[in-house]
Formats: sequence, C-alpha cells, structure tokens
Amino acid sequence: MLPISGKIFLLLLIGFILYLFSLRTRFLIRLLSLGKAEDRFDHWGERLRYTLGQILAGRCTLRNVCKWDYAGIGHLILFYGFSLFLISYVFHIAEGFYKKLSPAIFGTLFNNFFYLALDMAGLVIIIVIIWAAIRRYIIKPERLESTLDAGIILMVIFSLMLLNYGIEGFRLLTETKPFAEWLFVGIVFSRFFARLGAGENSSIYFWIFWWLHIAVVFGFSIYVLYSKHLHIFASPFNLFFRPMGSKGSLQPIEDFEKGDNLGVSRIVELSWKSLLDLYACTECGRCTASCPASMSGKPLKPKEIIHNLKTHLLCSGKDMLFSKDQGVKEKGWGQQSMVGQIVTEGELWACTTCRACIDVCPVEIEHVERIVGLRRYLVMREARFPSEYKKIFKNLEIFGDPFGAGSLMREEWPSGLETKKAYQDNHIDVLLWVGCTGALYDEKTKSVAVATAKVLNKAGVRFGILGKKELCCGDPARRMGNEYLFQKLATRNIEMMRKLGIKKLVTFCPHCLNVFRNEYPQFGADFEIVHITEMMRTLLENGKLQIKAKTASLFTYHDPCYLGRYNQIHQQPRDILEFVVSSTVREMALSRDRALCCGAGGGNFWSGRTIGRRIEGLRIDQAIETGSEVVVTACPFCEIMFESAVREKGLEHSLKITDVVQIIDQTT
Amino acid sequence: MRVIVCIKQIGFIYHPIAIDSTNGNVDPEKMVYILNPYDEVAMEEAMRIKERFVGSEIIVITAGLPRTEEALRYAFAFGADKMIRIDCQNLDPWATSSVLAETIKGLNYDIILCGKRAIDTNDNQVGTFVAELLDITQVSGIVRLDVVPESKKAIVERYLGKGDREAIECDLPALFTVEKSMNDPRYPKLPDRLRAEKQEIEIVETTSFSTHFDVKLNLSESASLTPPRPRPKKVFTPDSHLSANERRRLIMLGGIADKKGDVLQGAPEDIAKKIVSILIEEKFI
Repeated sequence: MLPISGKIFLLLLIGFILYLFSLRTRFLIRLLSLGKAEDRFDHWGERLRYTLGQILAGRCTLRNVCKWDYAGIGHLILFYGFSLFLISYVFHIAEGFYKKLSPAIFGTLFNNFFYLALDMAGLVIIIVIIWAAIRRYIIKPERLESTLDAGIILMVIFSLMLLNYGIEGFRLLTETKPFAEWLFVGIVFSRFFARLGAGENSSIYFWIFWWLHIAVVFGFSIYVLYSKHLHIFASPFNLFFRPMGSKGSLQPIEDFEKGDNLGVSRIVELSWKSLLDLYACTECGRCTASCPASMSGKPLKPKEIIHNLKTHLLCSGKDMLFSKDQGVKEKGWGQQSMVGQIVTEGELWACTTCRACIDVCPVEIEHVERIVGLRRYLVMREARFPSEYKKIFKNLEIFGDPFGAGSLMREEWPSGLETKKAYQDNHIDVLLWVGCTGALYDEKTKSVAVATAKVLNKAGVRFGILGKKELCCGDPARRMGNEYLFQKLATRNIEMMRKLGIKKLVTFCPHCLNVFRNEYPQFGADFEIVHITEMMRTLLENGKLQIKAKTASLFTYHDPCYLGRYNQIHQQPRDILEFVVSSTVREMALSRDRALCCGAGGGNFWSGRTIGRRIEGLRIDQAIETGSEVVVTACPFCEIMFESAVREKGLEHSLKITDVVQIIDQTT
Repeated sequence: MRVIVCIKQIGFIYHPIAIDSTNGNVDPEKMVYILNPYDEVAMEEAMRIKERFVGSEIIVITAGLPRTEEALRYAFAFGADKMIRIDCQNLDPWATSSVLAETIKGLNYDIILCGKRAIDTNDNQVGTFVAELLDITQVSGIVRLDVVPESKKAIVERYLGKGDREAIECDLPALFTVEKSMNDPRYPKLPDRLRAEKQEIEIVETTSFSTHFDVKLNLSESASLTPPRPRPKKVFTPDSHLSANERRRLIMLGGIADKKGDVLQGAPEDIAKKIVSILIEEKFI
C-alpha cells in the first residue's frame, strides 16, 4: 500500500490517463460520425456469435497460418497471455490503495494458480516477442515492414514482462513468507537481485519498479490509441459490423441525381464502417502479400491504400471536426479529392477485384469496395479512366456487349448446332446464359459455349438460349466503376427475362454467375442460376452423363476468382475432374481460397496495359511447377489470359489450356 | 464565345449487324444509331473553347426525326447550354443545309463547328453549304483552332495530307468543319448525362421559316439503287499467334491494326528518360 500522498498522486494519475484516453476515444468516434450512414445493425445474434468465435478462438489469425507463415499462432499466444496480464494490471493498481495482495481475496489457491499462470505466460510472451522481433528485423518476411511503431510495441511488451518479473523478485525479497507459491521465474529474479546486494533496500526497489510498471502500463494504454495497435479496440467492432450479405456483391448506388453519391472522392464520402476499417488495420501486410497486382510489380499495394487513407483521416480529421462544430464550410484537406493525392489512379486501375486481400485480411477490411468506390468517382464524376475503357463503355451502351459486335452476332456461335431460342420457344427447363465472351470473342471461347451446349444435349437437359435478346450482364461496367451503365444493363436484362418467364439459368462464365447470383437480387431479381460445374457434377453423380473413357493426362486446376473466392465453388470442378482423370488432380502452390488471379478481372482484361510482369504469367509458372500437361479452368477470361501466357513462354505444345466443360464434352 | 455545333445522328452502317446478309443492303430495321464521330470531335472542340473563354455558350443543333434526339442529348452532355432540333424528314445535303441556315440566322454566334463528313452518307457538303447560305467564312477539314477574341479572328490549321498543314487566319464569325484527328472526344460525365436527359429540346418547325426556297424540295433525288454484289459473309477471326491483348484490340477494331502510341508529356529530361525506358521495355536496346 502507498502512503496517503502516493495514493492521491496515483488517483490523479489515473484520472489524467482516463481523461487522455477518453479524449482520444471521443475524437476517434467523432471522426467515424463524419462518414456516411450505412445500416450494419441487422442480425445482432449472428454477428455477435461470429465475432466471439473469431476472436476467442483466434480464428481471425489462425486461418492464415500456413507453411511459410506461423505468425497467427504467435498472435494467439500473445492475445491470451496479454489478456491475463491485463487482469493482473487491475490487481497491480489496486495494490496501491489496498494492503492485501488482491488475488489473495479470492483465496490462496486462486492466488497461487494465478501467479503461476502469470509467470508462465510472461515467459511464453517473452519467447514469442523475441521470435516476432527476429522475424520482423532479421528474417524480414516481405509482407512486414520494420516500422518504428512495431518496434515500440514489441519493446513495450517486452519491458512490461521484465518489469513484472522485477516486481515479483523484489516482492519476494521483502516478504518472509512468499506472497504466492510456485513462482519459478520470480524466484530466479529474487535470487539474482539478492546476489546483486539489493536485499536490504528491496522494498524501495520494489516501489521504484512498481511505479515504473504503472508508468509503462499507462503510457502504453494511451500509445495504443495512436498506433496500429488501435486494432485491439477497433477490430472486434469491425468484425462485428462486417458485411453480412453475399460475398461477391458491391453496394449499389440508389440515387444517381445526388452528386456525392457517385463514388468516393473525399474521405467523408466513405461510410462510417469504411472509416472503422481504417482503424482496424493492423498493418500486417497480408493483403499486399496476396495481391496479384502487387506480386507482379504493379503500383497497387492494398495495405498502402488503407494506411494512407487512415493517415489522411487522422490528419485532416481535426480540421473537419472543427469546421463541423463551427458550422463553416471548410476548404482544407478533408474536402479535397483523395485521388491523386492520397491514392493514385495507377493504384486504382491496377486492381483485378480478385478479393484475395479481403479473404486474407484477419479483420475483414473491404478493400475492393473501397477501390471500386474511388473508381466510380473517377468514371462517373470525372470521366477519367484508361483511354481504352471509353470504347468499352460506349460499346456496352450502344451494342450491349464490350466488343461492339452487336446483338445479332450472339446467334452465330452455335453454327450447325440445334439450340432453342427462349423468345420463340418456352418449353425449356433451363436457360443457357452464354455471355459476351462465349458468344462473341474468338473461336476458342465460342468452342466452350458449343461444348456446354453439347454436354447439356447429351444429358438430355432441355435448354434454350436468349440469342439476340441477351445483353452483357454488366460485370465489366460495374467493376470498372460505371455503376450507372451497369444498372442500365441489369434492369434491361431482368425486365426482358421476366417477360420471357425465365426462372432458372445455367452459365459457364463465373462473372455472369456472380452478377446474377449476388448482384441482380439488389434490383429485385429472383432467378436461380447455377454454374455449369455445379450442374455437371449432379449430372455425373446421378448418371445422366456417362464418362466413356478416362484420360491419362496430368491435370491441374486453376480456381477462377469469381467462381472460387466469390462463390465458394472450389470442390465441384475438382469432383468433375475426378470422374475423368485416372490420376489425381495436382494442386498449384496457391489454390482454392488462396488461388492467384489470372489478371483479367476488374477491367484489366480490357485495358490490356501492363506495368511490371504479367499476372497470368506468374500463374502459369505455378502451373508448370506442378508438372501438369493440362491446365483446367472454368472461366473463359482465365482461359484467354493463360493462352496468351503460354504462347509468350513458347509452351503451346507442352501445356494445354482448357475448360472443364470441354473435357467433359470430349470424354462423354 | 458563342459556338454553334451542328450534329447528325447516323446509322452505323459499318457495323456487321446493319447489313442484310441476303442482299448486302443496309437494313434500316437493324440499324444502330449513334452520334457521328466527326461531330463528337466538333463538340469536343467547342467544349475546349468554352473551357478557355469564360462566359462562352454552346448551342447544339440537329435536323431530323424525333429519334435523333438521342444523339442530340449525347452531344449536349459534353457540356452544351442549349439544344435545338429542326423537325423534318431525312433531307439531302442542300435541304439540310437550308433548314440549318434558316435556324442559325436567328441566333447569335461567333463560331459554327461541323463535322467534316457524316460517316453514313459521306457527302462532305452540309458544313460548306451552311456557310454559303449564311454568307460567312468557311474553312474545311481543320485540325487546329486558335481563337483571338480581341481581334475577332481565328487562326486555323487545315490538314493537307502527308503531314502537311495549311495555316489560315480568318475573321469571325466563321464556320469550320473539323477533321477527326483534331482531338480525342471526351466521355461525358454522368451528372452531365443525367442533365442532358432532363434538358428540354427546342423544336423548330420548318413551316415557320420565311424562306425564299421550298425546304421540302430536295435538290437531289435517288434515281436508282444498285444492290452490291453479294459478298461472302466475312467472319473476322484474329490471328491465333497474337497475344490476348493484341487479339482483343484487333477484334475491337474490326481487324484493322492500328499503331500503338502515346504522347509523352512533361519536362524534356523526363521525356528523354521515358523514351529510354520504353526502348528498353520493348527490347530495342
């Protein structure tokens, strides 16, 4: 227990720290209130369950643990270890006011166990911290940066552990009967101090260490709010308010007439949840490490975007709040467009919208939504985009497809093949949505459409096509930021299919699939759409499709982003291949949820520009590593990209690129 | 500056779907209508004048059926201030010029801009006729326009082919027909598109003209129509040896390879550095 002066000082100190803490917290919360409204308050129970599951079980970090990254385990140890220490800090402060050692109130047994646990936790934390420091400063994995922030945090935690042992050691020296049994580390420290000759003045040293400890704990609690450790407070909320709907959808713009609805240019045009994202970022760099654009040397680094936005928010926040309080229109930083200053156009257009960053993010930051929001601003408000896109937008608007081929050409691909037109004959079970690439691009993609039709015929499925009535699903327009054009196409498609009474669709293009399944419902559509791989698996399983002969070639499967990550269709294509191949399907280094993009998504197929290396080339390298002869995919865009990569590498005779449907067509 | 831009909605006859495959004629049923690309260039040039001189005004005029309003609104979305449609049938160049000139007579203007030609009929006449009817200066096929408002003069450059240009100084008001290479037309911003959708179009009836000629009378008439020899249907398939991007570009251009190119901008030192890096990138050095 402290003398009365010490108690008053401690009380004042606590008050001061609480004041500082609440000041900063209030500032941070008020900054959030600058953002736009967004409803994330549904499904309380489900949200709570998910959040607790993620945090308590450490699922948020453990899911990223893999052969080359064990950091998640270390994080979980630190999380639980430090939680124990947090409790001990309450006891620690209480000791200043109250004579008896606080855990002793709960009985000797609790006391003994608590301090034993603390001693062990301290040791484990020290080991983990040293490991973390070695990783960050010596091994230097690419995703981590050796920032001062990270160093300070490691040092503080390390010193907290040492101070704790110091206090224990001195305490043991002052007491004749040890305050807790089994203090195996504490005893070592006390013997060490005794040997140094600190035995006589041990109670003075004890209180010096005690105050030092208090200072570090209090200092740290404030520092947390100013550092990337803010994620301790922000990430649980960020997990709680995560997007609940389908993974693959972007938020629609409801009113195009309101100017600042058209995408995001200023920081305050982000929603409060998007701003919370920025607080939650731990700068772990997993997003950048998994980003295909970043991997191939393009200017985009998702972490940088989030980090820069955060810095921008915190720097301009004070001015914005001030002018909000004063009710004056502010002309400062916060009111300026972020594009060009905080985020460059090069970064924005390099994104393939593959979602790898979101899937890998432990605190579920929504990078893609952010990037598309900024793109929307560039396209709709500023009309600034790669020059190639103008032609795409105009083609989509005038002809209803990105190539400018025109609707009549959509009936050319099934030459010599019997296909019903849904607008003439409504005796169909399912509509084959061909999509622009399948119907219009080149012989290779048209042959995928033909193969699909043949497979459906073999299985006896009564299907029809829309032919000239079909329009682009709108995916390219939406991902490029032209939301207006997307909604125009979407509503036209939905209306037309309603008129024809179409309920069920099948497609082989994952982009069309994603738009129909996850985005058209935003506009009141209720079509059921399946991917051809889902349908084929069922047909194979119930014997409607019979495999005539298995093939001996060595296969590897590439997960298209919009099929795998966006719609969790990983297993179906693999199951189908199991029917066909005699050996097992080989997996690339990155597969399923971690699969690398082909580089075509998010409008990059149309711009055709490349800074750095080609993403499809990186992916093909991974395919070559597996020693396979055939790369199978389930997306026409992936196929086109890989075709050109294989040709560039001069491997067209040794590595075949093909679609799952084509394999089934050839073997049944 | 008060600028008038005359535009035309054209049937995009070069598009495969517009051609009736049985007889090789243009099928009006399947026609896709767009704004004449040359007029887009004129519109863009008008916008550049408006952006340079504060208080400028742009009026867009077209002559035709109600369906032409779609193209009119698209042109308006570039950033014009007023739209006028002269309500009439499809007219021949002389009659079109007459109705345009009659309407323009009642307006204030410094510059009239027209596309050099419409890519559907390829007559190359309307701009010149309008200037003649209004009795103002006319320069055709310009690729550069500098306005000197103080002296009410314009300095224009005309394209003569093979990189030659002819510089002409002339008094305003004047009419210029623009070459397609003059600029790269913008993609209208969405708020402007929405504004254009709502903007009222002033309709001018041809009966209101106090004319000295009969506008209903086309000076030319079609004597006979010779159908072209039916050609085998051309399906364009890109060379499979090209990369995906090359093929995409070829498909988009309908099989015509264009020269790739970028204009480098910045300080001379930076440009030099960029050129070197491009040469290294393209493996020339």
